[in-house]
Amino acid sequence: MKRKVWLLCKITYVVLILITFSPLVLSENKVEPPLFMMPKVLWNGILISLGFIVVTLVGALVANSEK
Amino acid sequence: MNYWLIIFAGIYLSALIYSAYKSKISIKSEKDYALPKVGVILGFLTFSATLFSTFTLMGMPDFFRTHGVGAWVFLGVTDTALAFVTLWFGLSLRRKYSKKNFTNVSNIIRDRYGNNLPVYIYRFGIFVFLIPYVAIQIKGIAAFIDFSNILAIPEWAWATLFLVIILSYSYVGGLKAIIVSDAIQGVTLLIVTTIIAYTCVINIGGFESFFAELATNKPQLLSIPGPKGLLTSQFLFSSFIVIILMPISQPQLLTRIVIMNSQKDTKRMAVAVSIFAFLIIMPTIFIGLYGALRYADSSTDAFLFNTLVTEQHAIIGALAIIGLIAAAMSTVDSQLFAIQAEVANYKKSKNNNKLLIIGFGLVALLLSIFTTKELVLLARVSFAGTALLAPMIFTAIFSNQKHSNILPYVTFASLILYVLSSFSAWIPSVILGIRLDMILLLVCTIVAMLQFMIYKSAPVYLEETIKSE
Repeated sequence: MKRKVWLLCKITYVVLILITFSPLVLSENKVEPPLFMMPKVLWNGILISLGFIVVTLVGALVANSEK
Repeated sequence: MNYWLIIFAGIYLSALIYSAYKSKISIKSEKDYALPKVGVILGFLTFSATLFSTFTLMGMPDFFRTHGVGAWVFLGVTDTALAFVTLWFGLSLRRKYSKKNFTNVSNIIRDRYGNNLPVYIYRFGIFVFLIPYVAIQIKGIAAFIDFSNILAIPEWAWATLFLVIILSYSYVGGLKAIIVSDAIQGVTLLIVTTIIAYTCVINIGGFESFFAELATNKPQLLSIPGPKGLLTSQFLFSSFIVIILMPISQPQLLTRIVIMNSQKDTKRMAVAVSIFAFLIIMPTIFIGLYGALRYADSSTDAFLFNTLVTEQHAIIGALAIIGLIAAAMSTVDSQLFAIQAEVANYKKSKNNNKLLIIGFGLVALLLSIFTTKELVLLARVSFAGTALLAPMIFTAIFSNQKHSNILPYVTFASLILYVLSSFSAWIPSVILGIRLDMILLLVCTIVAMLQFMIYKSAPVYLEETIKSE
């Protein structure tokens, strides 16, 4: 089970990278829609960062550390 | 403020002297000097402090001020992603290497390729790209302190003073003393940036007013590619790739993974680094954008000095100056020590090895006197240059077969082309619309993958003992 979750973490990591550099996040000269007055690229970027933190946390819990 | 500055400078110097002394008396062997064991708290603080140098507190606010919110993707997204690479790569690395069988990356490369040529290429790469990075750290902090006019001494004298302090405690206490100085820096920087960012937001009238004023006066800062058009998707993607490779390509970070006490501590360290990265880069958004609103036309030094020092309470201003000095010193000491460790000969006297760090320090000092101050962009050149080494290092660490020198030759050619494209107009930095650093990294990666496939059927290279020179 832990192996599957670790694999899922790796896949999620790659998906997060793809989302980050897709027009979903990086659309040029676009500020809308804002969130708490923050422009789109900023709050999207913050959410992506939080996603990376969660993936790292879950990965650390399930990754096999045996030698 | 000078009163508080003297107090904090005294505390900081005392802590450095104490940690150097404590480390010195605990050093029983050359290995204790170069590779001490550390737990999770010191581990993540030293990793983070090495990663977040002066350019986090000085370079990043200026980057946000000039290029806008896209700078978050440049470093905030990238450094939290780097933490996962640290976890993934770190666990795999530690399955093969621990403090017992690790001396330095140079020896791993020599064992895997069976000759010294790849080692010289690797050392060339780290020397060419890390020494200038060390130099801009020294330059950045010396120029800032000179601008603040604390003492009537010239910029080069500040640079020399900082280097003498760094070399003194590094020489005496080894990596353990450096790690303690990193920990002091990490904590100071986190506290100072958070308080200053809060002050910046309050000065504008609160969070919503902050972004409302930006939308009115500086709308270009609220989207990519920013007012100067730098933060394009391709620039951000190529920066992302070269930065997340740093735990593999930069020896000072790789060493910090190996010296963790256990695999469990490595995992915890990676998680802590991701959270620390988020918390320490977040305040620089507000400090930088505050600068765009209040100091749009000021020089970088004037903006930073006014925002970080003059406008703050005397205690915070003094702490900011000490935090900046500590940030520069902790990055410089880690990189100088890492370069020294890569060329050290463990069969010779340890005093000879210690002298190397002084030699590299002097080269960096000379370079700092002549270099420019574009911290972030010069840092990026350094990250991209060392990233070209990553496929070769990766192959050396994870392949069980002996390899030919094809990949080292390709890596060397890539390094030369990248140096020429970065510092002269002979080689274009963009070819067919794609950045040259990305093309070169892709070529090195493909060659590495081909070598893995070709040598997969070759007899397993059994010699796992790491030989010293």
